Amino acid sequence: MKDKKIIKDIIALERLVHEPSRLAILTILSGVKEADFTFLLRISGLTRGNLSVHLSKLEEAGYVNVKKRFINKMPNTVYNLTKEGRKAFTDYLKNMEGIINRKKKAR
Amino acid sequence: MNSENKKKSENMQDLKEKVHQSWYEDGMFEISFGICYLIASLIFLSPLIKFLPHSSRLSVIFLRLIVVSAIVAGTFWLIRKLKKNFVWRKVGYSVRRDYHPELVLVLAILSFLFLAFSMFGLHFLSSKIATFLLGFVMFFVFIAQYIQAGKIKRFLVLSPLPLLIAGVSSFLGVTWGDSLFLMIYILGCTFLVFGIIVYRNFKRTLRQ
Repeated sequence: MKDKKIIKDIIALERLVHEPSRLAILTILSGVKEADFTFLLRISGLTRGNLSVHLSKLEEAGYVNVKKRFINKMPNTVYNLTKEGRKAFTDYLKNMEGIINRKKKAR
Repeated sequence: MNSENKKKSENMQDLKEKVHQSWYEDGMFEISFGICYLIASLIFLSPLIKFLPHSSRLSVIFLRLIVVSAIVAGTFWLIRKLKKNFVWRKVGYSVRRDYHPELVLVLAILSFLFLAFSMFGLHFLSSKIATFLLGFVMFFVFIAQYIQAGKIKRFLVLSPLPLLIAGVSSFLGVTWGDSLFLMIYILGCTFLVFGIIVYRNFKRTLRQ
């Protein structure tokens, strides 16, 4: 019965958030009010292309907000988590904690 | 699946700490606080205040409140300004979110109570006890800063310093006003030196 519940919880994990690179991006963005591309690149350790693709996916899902601006005539792109993004991330963490705790109790 | 999830959550915790540590990795926090503590020790506790007549005690309290508020606001303004000019162009821009907002609230209440106590409550306590209290408050501020900064060890290393200053001040029988000056002045100098060292190391790692 408990195993069934765990399996149900695993299925409920959102795939968009569960992917390691996107989870890393969301974790970083959850710790800041906003951050630019260079900061995300440095902290996440992802390649430029990889980071760009994952950010686009998160933006499409409405989890990340993108702001483009110029600093000293240089383009600068700033990202921050939207309300939906923060909720999806928190829900994901809750689900994952639930799975770990239930598995611990099952032992 | 379970062990994979557990590993994932541990990595996430590390990443979260890395994000919060990134705010402090350049030493701008310590440099700004060092400068502001030094200014505070010279203005907040300057001999000018001692020469004001006793009848204007309220104006002294008012002046202190304005100076303290200006210093707190000025410190955060200075951190942003320094980061904008020396850090963000090289390592990217980010605006910090509090790691433990509840801790910030406790610290703010503690600081307010201490400020109120230092202005009105000194009649009830001896100078020695007041100095020790100051040392303990500053010690807890450092510990809180250590947790808030994602467990950066240098804040933990610095934490016994206020207790040491308070102990020496009490032992030597230094007056409350002078021990307050000593505390803020020494902490300001230490912060500034630490900040400069951290910034030098940060620049070195960037070059590599």
